[in-house]
Amino acid sequence: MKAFAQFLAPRLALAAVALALSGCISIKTHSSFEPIYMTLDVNLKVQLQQELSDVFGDIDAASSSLSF
Amino acid sequence: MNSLKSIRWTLPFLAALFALVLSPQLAQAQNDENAIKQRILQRVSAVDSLKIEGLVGENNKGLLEQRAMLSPPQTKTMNEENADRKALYAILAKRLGLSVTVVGQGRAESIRKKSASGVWIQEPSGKWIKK
Repeated sequence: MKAFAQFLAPRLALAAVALALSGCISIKTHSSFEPIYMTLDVNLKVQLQQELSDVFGDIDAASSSLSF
Repeated sequence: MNSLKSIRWTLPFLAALFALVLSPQLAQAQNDENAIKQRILQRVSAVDSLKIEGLVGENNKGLLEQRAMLSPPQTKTMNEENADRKALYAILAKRLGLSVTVVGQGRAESIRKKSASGVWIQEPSGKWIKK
């Protein structure tokens, strides 16, 4: 019985400490990347409009249903 | 020394291989794009008539959409125009690394801004209005 207590007690104490510590750990998930994604989106949109303007420029210029 | 010699031979070989494999594909893509643009240009007045008469409108996907009864030749014009637009959007999407839908929506936005008054246009919400 005594040997069992000597064997188990330190391990139980260690497990309790580990559990207590893990309960105290907080992970912040707040992301600071949003502005980067927004910038990327704006850049892509500008790039797309530029490319569309290059490709459809002649076509739009010839069209009477599009005004400039 | 040997490795330098092998690099000297490998790099030009890879460059030549790259040119042989990719150049025809790039040239073909450019030819396809030019051919599509030419067909759209030849169809501009027919498509303009359909839009100005209010028979078709510009939807929010960058394509023509029927707004009134069309004759078979008018339907053919609309379908051919849409097929060419879709093909052009696919080429642009591949070039920019975007989806075809996004390119079509971008074109629709541009058309909405430029459309002359009296032309049917579809807002991003799906609502149709005459500009």
